[in-house]
Amino acid sequence: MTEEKKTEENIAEKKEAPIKESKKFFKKAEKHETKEEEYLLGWKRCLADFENYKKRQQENQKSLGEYLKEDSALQILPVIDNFRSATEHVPEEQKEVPWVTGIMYIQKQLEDILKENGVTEMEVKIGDEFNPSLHEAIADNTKDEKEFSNKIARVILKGYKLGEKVIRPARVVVE
Amino acid sequence: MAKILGIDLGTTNSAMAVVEGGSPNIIENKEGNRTTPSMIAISKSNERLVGLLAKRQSVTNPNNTLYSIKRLIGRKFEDEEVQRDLKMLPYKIVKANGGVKVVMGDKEYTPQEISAMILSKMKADAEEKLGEKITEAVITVPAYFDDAQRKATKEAGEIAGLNVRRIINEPTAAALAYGFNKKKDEKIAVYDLGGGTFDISILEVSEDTVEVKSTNGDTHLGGDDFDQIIIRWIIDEFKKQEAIDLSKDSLALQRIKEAAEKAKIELSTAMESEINQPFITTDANGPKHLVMKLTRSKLEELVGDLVAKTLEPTKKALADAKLSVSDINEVVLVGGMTRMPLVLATVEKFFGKKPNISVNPDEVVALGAAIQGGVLQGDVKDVLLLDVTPLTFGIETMGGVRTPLIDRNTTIPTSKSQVFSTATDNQPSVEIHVLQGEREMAIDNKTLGRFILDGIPPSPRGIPQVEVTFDIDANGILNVKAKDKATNKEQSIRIEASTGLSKEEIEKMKKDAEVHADEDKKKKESIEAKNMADTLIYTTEKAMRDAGDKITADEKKPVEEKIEALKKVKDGDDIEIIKKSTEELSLEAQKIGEKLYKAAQAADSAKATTAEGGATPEGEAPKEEVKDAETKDSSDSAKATTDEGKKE
Repeated sequence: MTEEKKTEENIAEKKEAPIKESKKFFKKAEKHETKEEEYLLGWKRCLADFENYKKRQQENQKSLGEYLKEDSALQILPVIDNFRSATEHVPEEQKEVPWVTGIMYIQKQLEDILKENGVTEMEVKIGDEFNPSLHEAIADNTKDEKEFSNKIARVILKGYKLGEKVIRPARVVVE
Repeated sequence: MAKILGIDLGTTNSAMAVVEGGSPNIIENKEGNRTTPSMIAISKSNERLVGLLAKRQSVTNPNNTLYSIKRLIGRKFEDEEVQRDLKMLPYKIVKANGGVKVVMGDKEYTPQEISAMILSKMKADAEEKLGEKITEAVITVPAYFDDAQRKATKEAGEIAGLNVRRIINEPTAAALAYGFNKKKDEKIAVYDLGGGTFDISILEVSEDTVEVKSTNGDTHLGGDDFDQIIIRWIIDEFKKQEAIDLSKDSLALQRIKEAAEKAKIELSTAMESEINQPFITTDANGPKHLVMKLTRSKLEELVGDLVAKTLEPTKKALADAKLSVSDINEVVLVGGMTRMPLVLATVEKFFGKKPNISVNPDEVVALGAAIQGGVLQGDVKDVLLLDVTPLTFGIETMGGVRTPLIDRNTTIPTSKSQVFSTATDNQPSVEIHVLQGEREMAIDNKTLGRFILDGIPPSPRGIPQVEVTFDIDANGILNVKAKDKATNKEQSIRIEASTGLSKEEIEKMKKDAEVHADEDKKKKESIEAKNMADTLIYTTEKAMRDAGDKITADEKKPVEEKIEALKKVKDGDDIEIIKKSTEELSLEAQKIGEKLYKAAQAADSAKATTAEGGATPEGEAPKEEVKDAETKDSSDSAKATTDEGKKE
């Protein structure tokens, strides 16, 4: 009786074996399909990232010219600031002396170079409302202010724009 | 699936990055800057200002300009740090619900709400730059932050509209940026010297987890302190020179501050820096100028104590981690101040190994945060980590020169092909000698393998086209193939990734190349000049043979003379003479060429009038073309010919 049962079981097993194998195979195939889709999507995303990066780089290239101009201008501006300081300090009676006027012309040369490259001086006057988009406030410890009225009391350094962009805010004392 | 923003929320400055195409990139803010000051203010007109704008008006509005909020977030009012800040910070800090609140305008805010304002701006700027919505982020915190501080930071992100996927430690982020999370059982020291704080952390990496073993530091030691020392020195020097104390003059002080920072940065690369500030002030005698030189050695003398101060906490951190200096496998540098040569040297001396600073120390934490975001998103999979080749691959070409095919630091997998030709007439085979290294001469590089491609049909030198392809797969296995374009016959060789070169050997090869760069260049130039001479002699002689009696003996004579002259000097060592002779022969040879060309044109226009009338002269001067092609081959270093002599 057990012999028969064993053989029955064997037959049943043998019948099931291919089904089991198929199930295993399909499960594997499913796993591979999922992986395949994941890889394909990942690849597409990577390519898309690359395309977008290229586009951003192209934009950056275009603005590189502007950026270099801005960078050069920012290096020249302190020189112009110092020229201004120099000419401001010239005693009144010396202002017409040729070598003084010569220096002033050199100052003008530098200013012209900036203008030609699209760098413009910002209009800032005493009494203007302080605006952090255009101005940078610095401390003036000759006064003891605890309350500020938000009006510009002194212009220490001029501010400049390159096109529409503020490349250097005007340095001011606010009272 | 939107990008996860990696954010380094710093005490003084913040930065952000995302992963694109598998690697992290810093995102610039709206103002075009890579970092954003961690500052918030309420202006007189009740406008909220964030970042740079807040900084610009801080002087006019000290009570309502908030900064260093990171020092307060998640802390209790009684904390030592808070009590210390109460005295130092100009804005109002109050006790609230066990924690703290800050006063801005007429309202009270939790530190989370303030940090959220910074995070909001960063989120908005990132969205604008990337053109897509950002809803998730990874934010970094110091390794010593406790639960309350981490929770509060996460809250700040949520208030800003960000789902904070992870809060990770700053040193861990730095290690991630270097890929050190892939290491097994290694100990990493992260030395972070920023603008206001110094942090040292000891990490242990194993099986993809990074554990913080210990931390230490000085919460009030940073780049700003270095600047202060330089400013002090400038003021003292000026006092000596002019007997004027500039510290009382806030306008001059502002200029000195900027000049000091500029000098400090310059002295990281130069040995001395000139501080030049004309018209710094005026006295009864007229204007005064601030002009002085600061040398690197003087700077190091001035700040030496500060740098030394960082070693105490470092020793303590090691002790707490129960490690000795020799247990540390890698040192990572974070923070702009670590660029200073004195800091680099001090760290290297202390740890006995070169610290890692190749990733921008100002940006490394944000980049690491972005990588963590990428990992969470599946952008950065182990399986996708790419390598680069550390050394250049190439082959040996005519004259024993190394012609590169794949440059070092090329990301792999990659493939590169180039067409080469033969060096002598009827050369039946070419030998491909595969090399690795940075030197210009083949013999100074490492031989990876050789093989021969034969069966090249008999042709004049420079005519056969052998396409050589170098292909490196993702496992670093190099396949070199040579194919004769005429016969389609090909031969190849496969070289395993294990070239057996250690990190030190690679570094040595690179150094050698640098040291010998000039002499290598000269040698290569010399050989190229000789090659060019050889080729020109060959092509000119051939052209004259082929021209036959189309050229008179008189016309041939000057050319023959130049050929003889060049033959005499080409094997010598004087490159200039070889070049000169080559040039002279070239000019003479051109005259022959011109004549042949004109003759051909004349012949053709005669033909053209009789034939279809569409024939163009261009195609009708084959001799001329052959000559040009060969001259181009010889002078175009990309098309160097292979040296057959070696195979025998």
